[in-house]
Amino acid sequence: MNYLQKQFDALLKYWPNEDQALRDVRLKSFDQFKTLGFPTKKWEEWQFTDFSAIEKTDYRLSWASDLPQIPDQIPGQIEDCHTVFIINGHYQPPLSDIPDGVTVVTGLDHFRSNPELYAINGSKNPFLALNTSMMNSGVHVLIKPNTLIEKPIQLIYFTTEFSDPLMNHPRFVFHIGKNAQANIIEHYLGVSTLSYFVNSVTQVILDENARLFHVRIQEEAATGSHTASTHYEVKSNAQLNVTSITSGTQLFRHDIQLNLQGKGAEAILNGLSLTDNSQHQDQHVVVNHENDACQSHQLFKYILADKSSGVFNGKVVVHKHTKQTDANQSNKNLLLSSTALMNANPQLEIYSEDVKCAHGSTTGQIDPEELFYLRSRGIDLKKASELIIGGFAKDILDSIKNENVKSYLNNKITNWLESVLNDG
Amino acid sequence: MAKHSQIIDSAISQEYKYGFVTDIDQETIPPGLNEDVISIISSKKNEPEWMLKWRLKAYRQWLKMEEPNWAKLNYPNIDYQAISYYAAPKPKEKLKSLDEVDPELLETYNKLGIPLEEQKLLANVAVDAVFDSVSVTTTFKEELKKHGVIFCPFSEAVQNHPDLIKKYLGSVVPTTDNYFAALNSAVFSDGSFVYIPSGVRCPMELSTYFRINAANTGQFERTLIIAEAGSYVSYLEGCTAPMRDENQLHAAVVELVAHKDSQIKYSTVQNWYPGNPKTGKGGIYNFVTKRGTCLEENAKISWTQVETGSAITWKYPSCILKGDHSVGEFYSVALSNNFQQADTGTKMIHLGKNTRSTIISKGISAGKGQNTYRGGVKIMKGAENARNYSQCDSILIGDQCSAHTFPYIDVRNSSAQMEHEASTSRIGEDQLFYCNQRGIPMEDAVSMIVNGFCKDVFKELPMEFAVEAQKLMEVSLEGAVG
Repeated sequence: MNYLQKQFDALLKYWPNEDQALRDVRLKSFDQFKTLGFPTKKWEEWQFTDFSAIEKTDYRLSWASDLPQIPDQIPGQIEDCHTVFIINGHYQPPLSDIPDGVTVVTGLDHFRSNPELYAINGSKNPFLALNTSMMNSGVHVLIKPNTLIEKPIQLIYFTTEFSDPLMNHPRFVFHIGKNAQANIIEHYLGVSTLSYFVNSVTQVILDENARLFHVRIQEEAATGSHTASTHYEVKSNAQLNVTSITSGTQLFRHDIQLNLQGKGAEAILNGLSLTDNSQHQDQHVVVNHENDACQSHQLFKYILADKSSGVFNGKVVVHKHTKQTDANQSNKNLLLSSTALMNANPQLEIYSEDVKCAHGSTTGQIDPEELFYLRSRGIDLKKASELIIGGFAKDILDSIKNENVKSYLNNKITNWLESVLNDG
Repeated sequence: MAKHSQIIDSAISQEYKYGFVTDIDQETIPPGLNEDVISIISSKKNEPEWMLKWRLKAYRQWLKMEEPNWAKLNYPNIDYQAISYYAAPKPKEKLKSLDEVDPELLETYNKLGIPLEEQKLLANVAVDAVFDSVSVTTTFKEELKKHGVIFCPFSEAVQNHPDLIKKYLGSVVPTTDNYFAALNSAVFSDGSFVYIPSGVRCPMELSTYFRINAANTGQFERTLIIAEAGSYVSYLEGCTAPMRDENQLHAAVVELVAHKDSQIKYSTVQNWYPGNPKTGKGGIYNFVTKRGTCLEENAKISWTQVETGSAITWKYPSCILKGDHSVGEFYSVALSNNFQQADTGTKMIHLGKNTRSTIISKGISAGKGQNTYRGGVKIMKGAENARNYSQCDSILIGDQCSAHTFPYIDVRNSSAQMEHEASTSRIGEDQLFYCNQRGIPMEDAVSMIVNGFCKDVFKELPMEFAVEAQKLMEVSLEGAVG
C-alpha cells in the first residue's frame, strides 16, 4: 500500500501540468482505492484469489526512461494485421500502422472529449479505481461510423527488459461507430525474469448496428501479475464477438462486464484459460440484459495442469421489464492433474418473465475410455491425450473468422499442450 | 377462479380463531434472552446438568456471532430480545364436531385430499373413540418397540437415552455452525429423536405416525435421527394443510447420522403462513439448518422438500459424504408466490472415495415472489472418483417475480466428475395454448404444467404425500395467473 502512495505522488509530480479535471478524477479514484484496499478472502466476489503478492511487492511506475532498445523482432505479431505497439507502457507511433477510418488518440485528448467514461461511479472493484488513479498508458481507438476495416488491428502491449519491478495501468477505449465493423486484437505479452504488474482497463463501445470481433490474448511472462477489467457497452442491433485466451502470469484476474443496452443487441463471449505450475487464473463475468430481444452466449473453458488453480464466476442478470431474452452460459473444466483445483460459480439473476436462460458447468478429467479407444488403434498415450485435449480446447476458436488469428491461436494451444504433456 | 382464490385467501389470511388461551394456565417466560432464561428453559424441562451446560456454551458462542446477511432476502431486523423463548404447549378448546369448523377451511382440506379423521385432528375437533389418537399411537408404539426403534420427543430422549444424545447431539451441526443453529442450540424447545438399531428396516413410514401425533413442538425444533449399520428409515415432517403459528421466527436444526450400509430418507412438506398476500405483512421466517452425515461406507441420505409456505425460507439441507461409496440426494420444489422469498438449496461435501450425489431443484416464482437456488458442491482431495449431478430449473409466472441460481462448485480432485445444469424460463405460451385449445381452463393448464415440471421431485415423496403435494401446488398457485 505504501509504495502505491509513493508512486501516486511521483505520478502527480511527473505530470504537473495535467488538466485539473483529470487530476480531480485521479485524486478521487485514489481515495476510492484507499477506502476499498486490496481484496481480502472475506469479499464474496474475490474470495478465491490471494492478492498479497501484489500488495507486498514494491512496484514502480514505468517512466520514459524505462523504454528499452526496441528489439528487432517483437514476438506475438500476427500476419497481415495493422499493428500498434506499446512497449513497457509507451506507445510507439513510428512503428505502428493505423489504417484509414481509424483514429488513435492519446489519453489526455480522449479524456477531454469523453470525461464521463472515466467516472468510476462508486465501483467496488479496487483495481478499476487504482487504474483510474494512475492510468499512464494505453490508446483510444475510434472506428469511424460506416467504415469496414478488413484487416485486424493488433495492439501489442509488450513488457520487457527493465531493471526493477515495474507496474503499468493501461487504459484502452475501443469505440466502434454506427454501422462500422472491425476486428481488434488486444494482445498482452511479456518476457522477463523480474516480477511486474499490469493492471489494465478496457472499455469497448459498440454503437447502433456496429460489429466487432474482439480477441484478447494474455501471454504475460510467468513472473508477471495481470489484473484487468473489460467493460462492453452494446447498443441496439450491434453484434459483439469476444474470444479471450489466457495462458500467462502467476496471478490473473479478469472482470468482464457486458451491458446489452440496445434492443436486439447480441454478444458471444468465449474464453479459454490454460494453466500449469502454480498459476492462478480468476475470471468473473457479468452479463446485463438491459433491453428487449438481446442475446448472449458464453462459453468458458479451463484446462488446468500441475498445481494450478482456476476460478470462474459468471453471472447473467436479466433486468426488469425486458422481453424476449435469450441467454446461455456454459463453463467446462478439464483437470489434468490430481493437484489442480477448480472453483466454478455460474449464476443466473432473473427479474423478468419472458426469458430463455440456461447455464451449465462441468468439471472432470480425460475420459479413460476415450484414451483407450485411441490407444487400441495404435496411437500412443501422449498423442492421444493431445488429440483429446486439443479437441476440447479448440472449439473456442470456432467463432474467430480471421484465418491468421485462428492459426496463431491454434499453434499457441498446440505448443502449450506439448510443453505440459512433456513435463508430465 | 376469482371466487376460489378469494375463498382460499380468506381461509389463509383470517385470524386463527379456533382456540384461546387462559392466562392462568400459560407458562411463558417474559420476552428476552439471557443465561437465566436458558436456565429456566432447562429446569422446566427437568434437564440434567450437562444439557444445561451445552445450551449455555451455545448461547455464549451465539453472542459472539453475527447474523448472516449473504442470502438474497429482505426482511426487517429481528429483535431477539423481543421474543419469548419458552411457552408451554397451549391448550386449545376442542370443538364438538366438524360442523363447527369454518366451511372454507374444510374446503381447503378437501382440496388437499386430507382424510376426514385427519381433518378433525387438524381442525382441533375432538376425535371419536374408534379413531382415538391415543389408541392408534399405542398400536404404533408397540410395533416400533418390537423392532427396537426409539421414536420419542427430544426432551424424553434426554431423560431416557442420555448416552445417545451425548454422543450424537451437535456432532453433525456443531453449536458454532451458524447464527441460527447456535440460537437453536441454546433455546431449543423440543423435537423428535429417532434411533434405528442395526439391521432394522423401520416397519412404517414415520410420517404416518407423525401426522397423527403431530405435537406442538414450538418454534425452535430440534431433530436427531440415528440409523445404525444396515438400517433404513423414512421420516416425514410437516403437513400439507395450512399451518398457522403466532411465532414469527422459526429456527430449527435437524441432524442425521447414517452408519455403514444404512439409509435415511427425510421428507419435508412446509406450508407455514406466508404472510398477507396483498401486503406481504406477517408470515413466518423460517431459518433452518439441516445436515446429514454418511459416517461410514455405503450409507445413503436423501432429502426431499416441498416448500410452499413461509414469508422467508432460509434452508440448505446438506450431506457430508464421509464414508466411501456413500450417496447423497437432494430433491426440492420451492414455490414463492405473492411476497414470499425463498433462498434455499443444498450442500454436498464429498470426502470419501466413490461418493455420489444428485441434486434436483425446481423453483417456481409467481406474483412478486423471489426464488433463489443456492447450492454448494465440494469435492475434496481424497474423494477419488466422486460424482455429482445437479439440475436446477426455474419457472417464472408473471412479470414481477424473479428467479436466481447460485451454485458454488469447488473441485479439488481430478478424478471427480461434476455436472451442473440450470435453466430458467416462463411457461410457454404454446404449451398453454395447446391445453386451452383442448378445453382445459387456464388455471388447470398452469397447474398441470407446473406439476409436470415438479414430477421428478414429487415421485420421491412417500406416496400419499405425493398426491397431496400436487394438490398443494394447485392451491398455492391459485390466483397466480389471470
